[in-house]
Amino acid sequence: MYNMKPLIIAGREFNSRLFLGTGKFSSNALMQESIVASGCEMVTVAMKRIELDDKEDDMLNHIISPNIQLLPNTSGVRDAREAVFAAQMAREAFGTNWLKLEIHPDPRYLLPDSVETLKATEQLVKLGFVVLPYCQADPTLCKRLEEAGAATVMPLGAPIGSNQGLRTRDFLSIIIEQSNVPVVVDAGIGAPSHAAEAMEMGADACLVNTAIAVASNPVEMAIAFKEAVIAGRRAFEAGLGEQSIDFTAQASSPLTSFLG
Amino acid sequence: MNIYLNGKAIECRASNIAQLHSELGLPPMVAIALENKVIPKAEWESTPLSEESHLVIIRMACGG
Repeated sequence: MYNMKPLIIAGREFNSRLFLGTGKFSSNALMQESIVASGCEMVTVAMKRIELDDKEDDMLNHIISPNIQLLPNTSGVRDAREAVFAAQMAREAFGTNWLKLEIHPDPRYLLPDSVETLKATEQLVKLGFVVLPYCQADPTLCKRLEEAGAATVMPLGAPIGSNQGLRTRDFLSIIIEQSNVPVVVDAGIGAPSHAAEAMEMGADACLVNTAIAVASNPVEMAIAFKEAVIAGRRAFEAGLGEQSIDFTAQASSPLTSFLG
Repeated sequence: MNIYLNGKAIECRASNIAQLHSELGLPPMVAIALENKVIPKAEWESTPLSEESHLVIIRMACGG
């Protein structure tokens, strides 16, 4: 039987190349069911300040499992200094040094600040964090993040939650071609076909949240994404045929002498 | 004594961070910073609170 290559990040092996975000689900139970259905082995979580009269269900009970790597994010920070503080808080709270670094001070497009992201990556790697930075689909930046010791790069397909797909397609291709660390396409993936396309291009994994969480049936959508990521990866490993440079047909059947 | 928790003034009896954690009935997986310095769990017991201390306490939330 053919087995897909496992993905290795910072020495940890992942059999699933789909990572899930935990935001926007209508309930923790539905989130948990979707995580299980997706087969994913890494989920992102956020942090918030406690409120003493907060009686909400503790989401931890719904996601803690030995098969699942928690990936705390730094959402809400505005610069590298705040990101380092948030990372240290996350490490204490969740007992993991893995971190989704995200610094997006602009509330309209939530686009990551490249200068602060690179600065924070350099500092956090020195502090012993496994840093997975959410970043612009900028090939030069991705190389700089790799040199700074990032465990992956996570370029965006389109703005967070936009479901717009791989608007940065051509730059993602260059990033994938050049990268020596896994490339995780994060943000903007709105349909299983977008995820399959990223995987066919050779991305190492996809991180999906909104498209699953806000679907009419998130559990079914989680399964659809799981299958799309597998299909796309299989196609990449199997080696896709080359595209013609124009619309000229390339016969797939013999054209000669059938009817004499 | 009077301390500031996430920017709000509260009254507490605790004299160190471990006691405050238990007095407030907080879940185990939280992180606590005192005067913007993260205090590792192993140091909660030995980190005293004083009048007007500023604390930040965070917990896990859903997010992408």
